[in-house]
Amino acid sequence: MLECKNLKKIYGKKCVVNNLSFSINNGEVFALLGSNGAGKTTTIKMILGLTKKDGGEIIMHDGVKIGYSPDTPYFPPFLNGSEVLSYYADIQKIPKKESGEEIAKLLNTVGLEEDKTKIKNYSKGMLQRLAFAQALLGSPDLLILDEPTAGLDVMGRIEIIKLIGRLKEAGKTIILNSHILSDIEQVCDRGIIIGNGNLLGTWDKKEEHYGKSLQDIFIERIGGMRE
Amino acid sequence: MIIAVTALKEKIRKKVFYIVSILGILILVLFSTGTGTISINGEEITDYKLLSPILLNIINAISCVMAVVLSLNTIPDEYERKTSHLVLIREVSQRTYHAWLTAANIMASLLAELILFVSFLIFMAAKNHGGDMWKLLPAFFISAVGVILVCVMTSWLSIVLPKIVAGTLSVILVLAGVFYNLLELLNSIVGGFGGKLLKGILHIVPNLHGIQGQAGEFLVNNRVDVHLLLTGLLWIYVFVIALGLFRRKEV
Repeated sequence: MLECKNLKKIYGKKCVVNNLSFSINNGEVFALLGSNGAGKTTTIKMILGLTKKDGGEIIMHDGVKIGYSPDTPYFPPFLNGSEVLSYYADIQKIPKKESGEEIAKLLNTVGLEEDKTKIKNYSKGMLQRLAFAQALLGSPDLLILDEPTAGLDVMGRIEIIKLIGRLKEAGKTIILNSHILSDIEQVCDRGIIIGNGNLLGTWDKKEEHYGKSLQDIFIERIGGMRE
Repeated sequence: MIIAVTALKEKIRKKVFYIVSILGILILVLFSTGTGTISINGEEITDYKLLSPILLNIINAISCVMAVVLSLNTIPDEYERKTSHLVLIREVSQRTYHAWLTAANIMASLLAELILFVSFLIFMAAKNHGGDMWKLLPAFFISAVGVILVCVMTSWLSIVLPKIVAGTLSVILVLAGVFYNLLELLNSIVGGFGGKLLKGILHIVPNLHGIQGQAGEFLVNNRVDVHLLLTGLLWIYVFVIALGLFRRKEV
């Protein structure tokens, strides 16, 4: 579905993404792993077209629709969940007739009530779920989730991971950007480990990796980079 | 359109919107009831024909400052909160996005100005000039030229400069524009390098005093200088073009 070849991004004199290559297949949940400042979000922004790349290629199948859920979602506090989705549906030019039904369905999918509760009264977990719902508007083929469990308590994390699992079962292709390894191990099929913008290693759930867990592989790669 | 409407809804929930509006209304009520007075050379001005343009100038100055306050944060906040990401990935160009947000700034600022203009009705009624009330609507549209100019200018500056610099520069430009007649007076007195500098400044500062002053002139049946209004519209055109040309490198 998506192939990134030798992606490069330079801010000033610092190369934050350096010759990064990876590909994502249809229907898989793909992890972008790395410490803070590794270049994960910049990579996502390049895929989304929010940041211009300084080198490399992004090859995507024709007509692929992308949905995006940001790491710290912000929605106008005076709106309710339905109104927020209606706002983005309007921007996306989804006809009103279709959007009403879709919004109700999406709120149900992410486990939010179609009520008058204002965003200002939403918990972090509810905000994340609403961010998911807006990402799912228009039924995108590729879903990019940036740190979806950051700042959530245990229950909130469990809810989100379950939700990603449900989306995976529904056949969605997902890019998951996270540094919470247990979450990734639970829902992802494959992934890459990035450090200082460089590709440090790959991980595949199906492979045995000589009995090493994802945490072992991560420490080995990142540790190697720090040395 | 939905972008502008939602941004407008957010703006009118801001406390500053109400604080400045109430402050402006209070000033007008004070003058209407005779509690507040304006004196020139120790002589109190009570005549409607003299007092109303002065009060309208006060309304215009407050409206312009409000326009800066309401316009300065709109676009930078969208980028800081990353709400811009969710809009720009939906095939909305930066140009369109900035245009709608600027439209929200204009609508909010005009609404604030309208509140002040409506409260001017109290003053008119108190001075037994209720029959002239219809004139307030055209006067509002004349004055709106200045407010729109400030909104578009501040919105553009907030895209190309850091927020603090854009805010400072906007306030300086608005103050220079509101006191344009004083700068002109100074320019006629000061010679040498200072004079040349002032002349240069007068070229890059929109004459808000002149543009908005025409509202007062209209209200008291004086001749309206259309040339000044056209200059205001030209300034707006320049800033609208600039808004379309400049975009943020990083979103």
